[in-house]
Amino acid sequence: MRLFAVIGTSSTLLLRAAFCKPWSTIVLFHTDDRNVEIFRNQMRIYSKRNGLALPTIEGFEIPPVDTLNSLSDFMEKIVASMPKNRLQVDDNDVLFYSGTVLHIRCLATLHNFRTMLLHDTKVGFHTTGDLKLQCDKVSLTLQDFLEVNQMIMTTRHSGDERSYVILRSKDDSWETKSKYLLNTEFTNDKLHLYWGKPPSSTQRKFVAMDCHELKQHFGQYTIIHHNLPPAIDLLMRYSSDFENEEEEE
Amino acid sequence: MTSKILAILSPPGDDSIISQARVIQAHQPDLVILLKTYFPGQNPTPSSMRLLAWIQGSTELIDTYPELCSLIDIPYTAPFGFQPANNFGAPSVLEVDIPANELHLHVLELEKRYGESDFRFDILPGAKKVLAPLLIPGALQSTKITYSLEEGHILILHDDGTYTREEGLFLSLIDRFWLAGIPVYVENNKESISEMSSLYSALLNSQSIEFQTKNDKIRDKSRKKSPSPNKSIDLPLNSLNETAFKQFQDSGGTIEHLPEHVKRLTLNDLTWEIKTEEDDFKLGNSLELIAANEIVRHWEDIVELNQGVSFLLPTKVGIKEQVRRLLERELSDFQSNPGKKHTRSAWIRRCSRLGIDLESNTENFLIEEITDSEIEYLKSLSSEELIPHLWMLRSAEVDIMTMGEFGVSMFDVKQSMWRESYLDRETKATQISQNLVLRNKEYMFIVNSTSPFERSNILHLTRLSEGRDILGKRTRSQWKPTNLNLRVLRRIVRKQIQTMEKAAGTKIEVLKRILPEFFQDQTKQNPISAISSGATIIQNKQDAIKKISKALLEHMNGKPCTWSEAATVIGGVITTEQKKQFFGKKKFTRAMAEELLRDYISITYRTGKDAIVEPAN
Repeated sequence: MRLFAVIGTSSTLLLRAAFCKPWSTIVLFHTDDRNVEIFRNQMRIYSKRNGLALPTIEGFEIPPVDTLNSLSDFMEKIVASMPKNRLQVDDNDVLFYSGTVLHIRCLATLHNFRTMLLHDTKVGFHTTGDLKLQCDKVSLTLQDFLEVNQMIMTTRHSGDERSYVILRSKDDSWETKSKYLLNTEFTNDKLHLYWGKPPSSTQRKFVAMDCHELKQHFGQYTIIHHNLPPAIDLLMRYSSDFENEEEEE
Repeated sequence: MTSKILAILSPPGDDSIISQARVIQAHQPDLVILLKTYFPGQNPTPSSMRLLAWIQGSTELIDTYPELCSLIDIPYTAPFGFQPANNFGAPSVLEVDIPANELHLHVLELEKRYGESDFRFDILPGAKKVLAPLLIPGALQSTKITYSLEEGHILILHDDGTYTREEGLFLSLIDRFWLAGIPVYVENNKESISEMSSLYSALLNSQSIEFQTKNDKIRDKSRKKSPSPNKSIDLPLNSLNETAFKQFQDSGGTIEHLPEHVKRLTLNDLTWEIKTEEDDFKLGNSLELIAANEIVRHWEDIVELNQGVSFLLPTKVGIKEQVRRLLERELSDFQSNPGKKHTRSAWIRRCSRLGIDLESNTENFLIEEITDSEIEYLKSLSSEELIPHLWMLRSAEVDIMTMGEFGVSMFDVKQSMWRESYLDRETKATQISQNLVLRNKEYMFIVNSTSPFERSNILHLTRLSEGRDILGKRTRSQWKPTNLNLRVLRRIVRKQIQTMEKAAGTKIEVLKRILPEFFQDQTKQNPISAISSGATIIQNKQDAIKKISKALLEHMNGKPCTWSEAATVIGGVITTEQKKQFFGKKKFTRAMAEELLRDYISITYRTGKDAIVEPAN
């Protein structure tokens, strides 16, 4: 039984999907094999931390969607690559609902997937289509979440002795800049961030920049912001309209 | 004629409102069925008020902002509202509440009910999880499953993986902002720019290097911060210097020099007035329109372009707070340096307009009172008169915004960027406020100077004519000189060579032969000089290590060098972006070099001194 999935920017849900059944192989549709490597590493970290067997991971390249390749180009290229690139999908193979909705429809129809794996906070992982599968509940702890994303969370004190939270990558290449991330909470595999009111436009810009960076590092749906200034909240919500490449719940 | 019925998801909240409007605009249906999904345990929610207003038309959408003009007659660019392709009018709307897990069954029912019509289900709006059962091949029988693209076209996605493309209408960027809760004012659009296109093109073709004048040097001295060293070797290119004026006149244009630093440029029946200086600042605003014109002319995928997009504050409280904030900043500039023209002028002008006695108030300005006076003044102006004051009434501005096959792109036009930190520091990050970036990936800078540094998101204005493909080319940030520019440069270089020959007492041909290192392409010969090119193609981490090591060994040529020197060489081989991409850090540290390059070099530490780098044994 194999799980197929488009690898996007938000890997947490995909990581959980990869361990919700003892899949024989995880096949990742990707546009850059480095992303497969990064995900393989995340799986390695998670399996080691939780004493789980690591399934085989394979990559399957699909056309990119970026500044030089439009969705139209994507469709043209992927359809043109058939039937040479058609996968031998059988009744036991399952497609995860990652990637854009266009990716999902396109891959489902081109390779004739009959079953799709979905996730719901209440129900957990479940399938729709021909195959009805029972899946394990897979939950990450905050430590799992930070480890697989190679991040560290610390508390610092500002000049006025107020404490704030900093999220930074283990290799020090990035860290949140705002001093107004007041609190965090990890529930239902999501990191909730509670922001304080930035007192100036410069501080507001730091918050906005952090929100964009957090989205890049963790994906759109893994981070839940609370108390963002209205302008940033509005724009963070609508920014997903143009780049819908992450898994959602 | 078969009626067109469009069914789309309408999830709770306003998050999908733009996608929903996009789909309705593209398909031009007779009837829209909004399938308002809700999860078990939740109650159905009303459809978005703004979406329904937009379907009715422009005025109805504007009316969803009751406070927009209640304080000040703020100028705005009205949204279009739903645009019927054949003047058939707005579609009817049917709202149906359905539990999310029963979507498939409901669509099957609709398929039966509208079997005689052109029934389509667009998968763009809504949640993938809810849509998933419909995406499996064979889930629906006669329904057209579609996906609407940014530029308005529709893909009909068949069960066998193939697709058919259908023409459609796109949803304007202006409407997208109004739908999202942000009223906008747009200075120019594709059409108004196209009308002036020949004038803008003539100005671009005549542009030349703006060499520093005596006044510029005096101006630089009056500033607190000293100018970047790059300022003297990365000169601005524009149409507002003597050489450019002459070229413009040779191509049939005329120039009038009006008071207050205004130039009136005319070509055939087109006229453009440009203000070149204000408050001791040189203005580069004219470049926005010239850049926008290049994009309109040469970027084929673009269906909409807007220049000078102001995001307006739609509430009374928001406007008052904004005005107050700006006045505080202006006052602080004035008080910090009242002797300098560039820091004091705006405040002095404002006080004079508001009748405030500067002499008696220098230390004790009551910002609340001044804010109220300013608001009263703004209230007295008409919408048109308020346009020059828009900078006080907006939360941010985008220089150029486009939409096309590749989605939405934003451009910040700058005459030149002498410090790379402009790109990285949020507080210095140009006029567009970072908190209003809609899409980081498509946020680009356009510069127009002789030797800008090279980054993937910096485009040279003279390269825009190469179309969108320029984004993938290494030359994207490099100046493409015109024949006129080359003539000017040749004249200068010829003179300098004569000076050099006289100084060295040796002919240039001889100097070339005996000192070849000074005349070869520095970017190829000297790794340190290659810093400015910053465009080495690197495949992966191993490739990066190999290239860095090779450059270091070449530089050392068997002898040791300092770590500072080595770091400069490394900086010339690999850009900051590449460092982050391949090594996960913006800096290639000494510790990293020690670990990753140990097969090629060795590093010896010296207390209090620069470390020594040597080729490995």
